Amino acid sequence: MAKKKTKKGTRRRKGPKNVSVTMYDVGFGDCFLLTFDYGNNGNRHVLIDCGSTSARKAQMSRVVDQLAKDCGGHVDAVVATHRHKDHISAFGLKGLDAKLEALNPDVVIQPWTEDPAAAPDALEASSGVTNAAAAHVLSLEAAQQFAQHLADNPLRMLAAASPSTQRQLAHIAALSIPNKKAIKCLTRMGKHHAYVHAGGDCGLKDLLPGVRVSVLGPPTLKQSEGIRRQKRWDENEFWKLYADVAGASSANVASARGNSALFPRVPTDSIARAPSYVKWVIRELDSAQVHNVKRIVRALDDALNNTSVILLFEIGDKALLFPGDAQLENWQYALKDADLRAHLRKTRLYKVGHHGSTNATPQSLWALFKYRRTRRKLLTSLLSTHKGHHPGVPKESLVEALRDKTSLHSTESWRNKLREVYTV
Amino acid sequence: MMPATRTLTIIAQDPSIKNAANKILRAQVRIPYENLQPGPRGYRVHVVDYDSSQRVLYRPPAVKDGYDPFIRAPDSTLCRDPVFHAQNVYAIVMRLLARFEAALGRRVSWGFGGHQIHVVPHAFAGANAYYSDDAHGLFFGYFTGLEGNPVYTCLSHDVVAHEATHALLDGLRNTYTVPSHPDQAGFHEGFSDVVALLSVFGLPDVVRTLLPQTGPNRNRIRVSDLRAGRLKETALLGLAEQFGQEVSRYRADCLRRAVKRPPRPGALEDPNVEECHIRGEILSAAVLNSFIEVWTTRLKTWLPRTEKTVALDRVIEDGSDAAEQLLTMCIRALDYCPVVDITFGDFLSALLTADMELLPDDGKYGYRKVLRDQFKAWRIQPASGAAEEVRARIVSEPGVWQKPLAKEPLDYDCVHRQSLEQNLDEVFRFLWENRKQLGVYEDAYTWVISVRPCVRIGPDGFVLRETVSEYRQSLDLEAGRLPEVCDGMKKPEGMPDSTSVRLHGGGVLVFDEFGHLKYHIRSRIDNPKRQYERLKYLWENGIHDRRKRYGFSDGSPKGQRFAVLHDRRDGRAEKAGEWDG
Repeated sequence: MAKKKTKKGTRRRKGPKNVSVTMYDVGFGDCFLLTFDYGNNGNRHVLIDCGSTSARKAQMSRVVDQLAKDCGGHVDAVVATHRHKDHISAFGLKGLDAKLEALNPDVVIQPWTEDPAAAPDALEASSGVTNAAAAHVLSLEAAQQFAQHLADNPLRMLAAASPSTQRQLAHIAALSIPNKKAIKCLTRMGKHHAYVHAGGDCGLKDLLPGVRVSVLGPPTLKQSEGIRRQKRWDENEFWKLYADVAGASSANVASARGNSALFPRVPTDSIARAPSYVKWVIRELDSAQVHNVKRIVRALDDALNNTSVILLFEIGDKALLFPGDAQLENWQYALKDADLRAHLRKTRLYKVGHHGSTNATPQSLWALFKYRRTRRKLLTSLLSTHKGHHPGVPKESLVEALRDKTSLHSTESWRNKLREVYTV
Repeated sequence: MMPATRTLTIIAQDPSIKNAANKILRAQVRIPYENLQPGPRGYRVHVVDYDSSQRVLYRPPAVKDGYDPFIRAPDSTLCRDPVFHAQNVYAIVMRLLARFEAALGRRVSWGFGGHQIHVVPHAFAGANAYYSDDAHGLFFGYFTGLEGNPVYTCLSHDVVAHEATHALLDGLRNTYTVPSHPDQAGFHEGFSDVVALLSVFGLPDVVRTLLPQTGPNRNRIRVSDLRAGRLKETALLGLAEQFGQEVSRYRADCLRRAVKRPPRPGALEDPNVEECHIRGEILSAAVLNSFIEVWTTRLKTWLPRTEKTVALDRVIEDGSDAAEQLLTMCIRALDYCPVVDITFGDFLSALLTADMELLPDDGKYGYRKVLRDQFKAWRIQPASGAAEEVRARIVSEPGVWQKPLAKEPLDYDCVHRQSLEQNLDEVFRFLWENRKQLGVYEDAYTWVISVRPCVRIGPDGFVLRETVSEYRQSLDLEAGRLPEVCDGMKKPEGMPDSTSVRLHGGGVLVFDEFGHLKYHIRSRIDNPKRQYERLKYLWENGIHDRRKRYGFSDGSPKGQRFAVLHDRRDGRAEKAGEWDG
């Protein structure tokens, strides 16, 4: 039977003989290299994320050097699941960005929310970008400015909060800062860019022959219409949160420029000398302000997590699942689809979502994995995390379940180890 | 001698709405006179100008008696002077409070127990404003507008009135913030919108800017512009278009959507309409469309057939009167609303009953018929049982609450009439002694939360004296015991037997001037249908307290209930399963 020719002019090859996943120790962050072994036809590499919020630059530099060695100086694809610092920070670090660019990927995969056509400063919208999508991206941008301001001025914005709350919120805010350098680096990289959404094409078909790659998330705004909570980002339906983040950010950014008092010429009173009934109101308001900031920051953290690209790689009857930091709302679209659920059942390697947080491995997803077993552990789970860095992450009950039913590998237990390779 | 009222300038809508002379549209409102401290700090409202984002406390301005300091102030002063901002919020909240007190015929308390509500006009940087019962306050944010100008939510009449209504409603029915069926949260939002919007229509200067004027002095209006469809387009939609130009990020769309939304029977059953603001818009739409219909009915009684134009002032007067009358009806209805788990059907029955008590005849404008029809268009039926009861001669008019039909006569010998008008224990004694006749569930914790004597005067001078008292019941149990307690009620699908749930019930007792029970608006605690629907909604939407108990509280941080309304966790996500423990 005549073999068809691919676009590149090479003969269509069979699927890979072997697949291995390398997990690097980046502390609280993600960095994974997928290596598809095509025998005599060489290896194909896909880099999924490279970022951390806890590792120092020297550690990240060691990781990048090692991964460059592991892939032989070239990766076929880079996947930046979403723009949180713990997933893309290395792309924005001086020196490391050049090393990563030198890997010269054929394709860079990012969520649709990173599409420059949907950016707030886009000159014209591309055909696929709706006003609602652009508004969604705008609200994320505005909220990230707010996060930047909070990360820069935690003491001022959270004066009434306890030191631990200040630290906690400043950390979450630091995750969500715009990461412009990293985004620019990702934009420069790669011959092609794929801004993907659930059910879309990620451009890996020709690069990884014999591997079926499905995009399970993030859903577009239209796809998530059935998901009520996600709808709050639709400005027409859920204006208030959008207003909260956009308004708060613009107001606070304005104040950061130096307008320290709203009415500079109006006489003020000392708070310390105010009557007790006024002090009581001030205390209540200060505490409410901390709650407001907390709410905005957490909502933004969730919203960015929910822009995560979820990829499912299938080779024969084995599947590898890489969900980034996708939370329940992102997952719900994929989990509604009976066909996708059937594919998810075959999962043999699971990158634990969102470093093991409480709501990134939905129980309904966990229930689908047919290889989770107590005795013969056929499902491998990879957990890249760092305890005490993000409140409640990793979730102890999830870690216990993973330890009980899967072959769990967590960077948390590593000592002086830079990476580990797992073959599926 | 102390004058009865004080006149103060307020911004009629928001600073972007200008009059014919291109000046900010203002209104002079009369509010009860009081001896004010700097702030202003009065007997019910205390303005504290503290900015929590900048941690700045502005010195409270002295209040000059005898004149309105901003009556001739230029626009720039109104926008930039925090002293005016303080006056604006003080006057709007006081006017609304006085409006509620006049409609109900008694003093109205705040929901948090104190006498003075703290109103903070520049509370934080952010396009938000909210009522916090824990902080005894109304907090208004400020933000940078699209053109880089500062926007103060405290200058928007609609925003201030909406938030103040939340506070007043909480004072009258503080049980309406307890987690319940989606109608209840929707009612809080919808009712606040209705009050804010109808109070804007009560300001003739605002109505004037909305209507198309004609004639050499622009004091006439074409008769063709006074048809219902046209009025809806100019007055309601016009207001919607003007609304929120400044605070567009805050709440521009709610009115626009409420007005544009064509009646859709069955909309309330749609799961996408469970979000409280969207649900509230349905209530706003029904009441606002009623307003337009009543306005046109009033106009039809005098509009000449031969002339093409009529005096604008008279049209405005009719509109303002219709708005004021509907607003009074809506506020009075609160006394006849059930004590827990209100639905829109309950509110309709309460509206009809409250008005019928004062005006047994529906009058030439047929307010009650219009309301019944407008609610019916959304398939909202009165909760009272309606037509069948009229046929059975149990009630005199469709939709009104049924009078108590005790199988056994009520025992009044145990109570003293005068004490029954003011003493909680006396009302409890009446309730306890008549628990069988009144069908009060005996095994629940029961307590009387209020007793309020009131005097109301109808438009025809008719005086109505009533005493309105509320009692509550609560019952904590495990979900597995629900069938036994609630007449075979099943628990929501998937809810474990061991889940802690709290059931609420209670009733409103309305006594006539002779101390006899006139209405008993009861929310049975063992009503399986109501309790199932409520618990199912809470379960499916993950609305529980921090100990994962359902029906106790919604788990939002102290004082943040209204601030986080939009940030509520989605329960379907909960069902998909988080990792607990």
